Amino acid sequence: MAKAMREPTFWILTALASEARHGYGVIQEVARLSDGEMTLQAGTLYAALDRLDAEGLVGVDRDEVVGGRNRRYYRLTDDGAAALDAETERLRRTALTATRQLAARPGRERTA
Amino acid sequence: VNSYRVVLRAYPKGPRREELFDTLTEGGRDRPTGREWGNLVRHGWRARLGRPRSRGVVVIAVLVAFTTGYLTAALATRIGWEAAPDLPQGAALTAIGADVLGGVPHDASRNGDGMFQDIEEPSLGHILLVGHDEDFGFSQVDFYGPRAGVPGDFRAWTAQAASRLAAAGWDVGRITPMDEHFIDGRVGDQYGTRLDVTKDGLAVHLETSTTVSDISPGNFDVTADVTRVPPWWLITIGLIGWLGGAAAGWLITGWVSRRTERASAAVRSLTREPVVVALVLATPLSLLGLLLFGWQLFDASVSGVPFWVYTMTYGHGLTLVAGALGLVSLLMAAFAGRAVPERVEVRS
Repeated sequence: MAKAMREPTFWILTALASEARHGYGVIQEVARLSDGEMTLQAGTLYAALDRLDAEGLVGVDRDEVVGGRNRRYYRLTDDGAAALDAETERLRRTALTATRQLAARPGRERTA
Repeated sequence: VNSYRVVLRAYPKGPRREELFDTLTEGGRDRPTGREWGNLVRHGWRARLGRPRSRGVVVIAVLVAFTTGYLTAALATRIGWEAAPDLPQGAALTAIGADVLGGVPHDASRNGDGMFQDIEEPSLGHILLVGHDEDFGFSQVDFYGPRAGVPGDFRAWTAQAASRLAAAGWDVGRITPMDEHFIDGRVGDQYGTRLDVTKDGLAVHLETSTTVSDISPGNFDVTADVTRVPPWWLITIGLIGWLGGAAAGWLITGWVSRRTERASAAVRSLTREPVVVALVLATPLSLLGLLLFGWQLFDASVSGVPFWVYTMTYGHGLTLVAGALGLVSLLMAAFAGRAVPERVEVRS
């Protein structure tokens, strides 16, 4: 059974699923997608990006110069998409199991 | 903005600092929060080790840092002791003898001319190659009572000595009875006492015993030794040395790790394995050093030896081998490793 993904990793991969983003863009997108529940610290983000890059789950997409500053964009690789897909499926099954168990709880139907 | 620049120095030199700076300031912020400081320092120091997937490199870095911290603390306190007041002499020593031994006639002699005593009186070369004799320790002043012993009851005499020392302003510890212990676990009669007292940066260890040869029947032998207690500033130097040495060890490990990160499997192995064996040999000695360093903070009776005593006595050979192996890793990194490129090329 695959090891569960850490939450910051999950959100970083999710933020990169639709398009390549630079560091600040990833932080903003993660905050938006998680409704503000996940606030990524910059140090955590880049440590995760380095690790995910070494694992082949993300890659460097391009460098851009914006306002005289160099921005590096990161993208999700095919392996990263597969890993995110597998984790999403795992979470879906986990949530479904919990939902079923809660539905079977005595008195649930009456209070619902 | 400058605050961000300062905290980003936790990261290794390179474009990542700039990338982080842009990310941190893009939202209009100009100074890090406390949480950001902690996060950046923690991940910056981790980034210095390279190999983002490896947990092993973190374990190695922690152990190297612990050991280099220990060695630096040892060196720092060794130098610091030079500035500490010497053992008492002349009238001051006579006064201490009177406090400790009361009216008992006694001789006093200094054991060790310089800072340390080693029965072999080795040369510097001998110390570096072979280490110190097992009885190595700080120099001390020994008091000896009469050869024929002191008449009377040693328990009562020790109790009087404790009262006398307390009245003279010494910080008096508990009187510890010394009992005969047999190999089968039985405890026999009490044959002596031990008493530790401290005052003005000095520790005195006073012992009585009825089992010493040459004493007359019914008498007891009495001896005492005077050693120096590490002053507070020396302990501070030790702690600062420990932290500084640990930081240096971490940075050196990071340098070695990053230089060999992309090297061949053989080079990586020849860098990693020697340092792992070196740590297996050196870590127990560093741990013993830490225990003794901590123990000496609370118990002056163990101040007769430096906290690094085992590295220079029983563990000297292990230390030499560990040092040589560490040097192999460093040389491998220096000559067979290569600097990590500042910016990884964008892959198409």
